[in-house]
Formats: sequence, C-alpha cells, structure tokens
Amino acid sequence: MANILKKVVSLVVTDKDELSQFRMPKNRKRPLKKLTERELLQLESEIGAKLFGEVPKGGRREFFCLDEVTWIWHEEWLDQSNKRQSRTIRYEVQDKGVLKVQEGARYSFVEGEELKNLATAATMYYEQVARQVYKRDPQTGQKLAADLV
Amino acid sequence: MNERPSLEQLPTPEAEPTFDEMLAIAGLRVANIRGLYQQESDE
Repeated sequence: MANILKKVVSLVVTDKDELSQFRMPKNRKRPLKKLTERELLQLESEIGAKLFGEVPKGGRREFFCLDEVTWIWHEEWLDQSNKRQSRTIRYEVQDKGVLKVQEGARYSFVEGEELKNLATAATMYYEQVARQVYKRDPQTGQKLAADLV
Repeated sequence: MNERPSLEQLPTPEAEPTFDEMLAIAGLRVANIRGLYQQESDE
C-alpha cells in the first residue's frame, strides 16, 4: 500500500506551493454546525448515487468513498415477486490493483469496463463532492468564492 | 558546436494515470478535502 500511496501523492501534489493550497487557513470560523462523518458520507453518497443514472422505482443506491482506499457500492431493488433484494460491494485500492469484495467472501480484482467506469465515477464524485458538499474548488482545494463571504 | 541532449537530460513526459491510479487519486483527494472540513470545524 505504501508504494501506491507514495505514487499517488506524487501525482496529486507536484510541489510544495500546491501542497500549501490544501492547508487550512487559521482562525476562520465556520458559520454552519459541524456535520458528523456519517452525515458527510450521507451527503456525499447522495451525489455518488446519481453518477450512475436513475435509480429504478422502489430501489435505493449508495455510492461513497469510505476512506482514502475504500469505496462502497450498495444497491437495493425489487425483484419480479416484489421482494426486496440488495447487494453491497466494497472496492479496495491495493498495490496489486482494485480488489472487489462481495458478500459470501467473494474476492476478485476489478478489470476492463468495470474498472474504467469505477475510476471515472470516482473522479466525478470527487469533483462534485468538493464543490457541492465542501464548497471548494476541486482543482486547487481553495474555497469557492461564494463560501468566502 | 551544440551538443544534442542525451536521453537523461530530456524532460520526462507525464504519463496518464492508470484507472487504478485514478481511483486511488480520487480517494486520496476526497479524504483530504473531508479532513480539511473536519479540521476547520474543530478550530
């Protein structure tokens, strides 16, 4: 894991000036009540769920980043006999690739279209969550102008 | 006389991240921006 994280950090942060953009300004008070991590994940997941199109009627979808190496997909739907079905998938970023963990101890590395779609969705997720939940520019990490007032 | 630069002297072309790396970058960025929010809320 250490190797991939080192590589990722070098891809995300290219120099010290850029790193400083991600630091918090001190002594700034946030007017809104602090949201718990669970509440943040819920807000993020509402955005994540929409990245994959309409949720079928009677269904429910969650897609969110649990931590820096874990993504969760959860889907519920009604089957032909109107019985609720669900599926939860955990994607873990590892040195060897992206491990897909499903119920029933099923493990496999993600490949092909699924990996491409997942990576694209995760990138869009970051961009939308940065703007809509955290009110920050996804490229610079700086607060959006409207939130500085 | 100008010498031609050797391969070592040329700038390294920036490689496109792989899909694995895109996912890792997105996860790291989300964790970072979430951490900033929590840090700011604690101050």
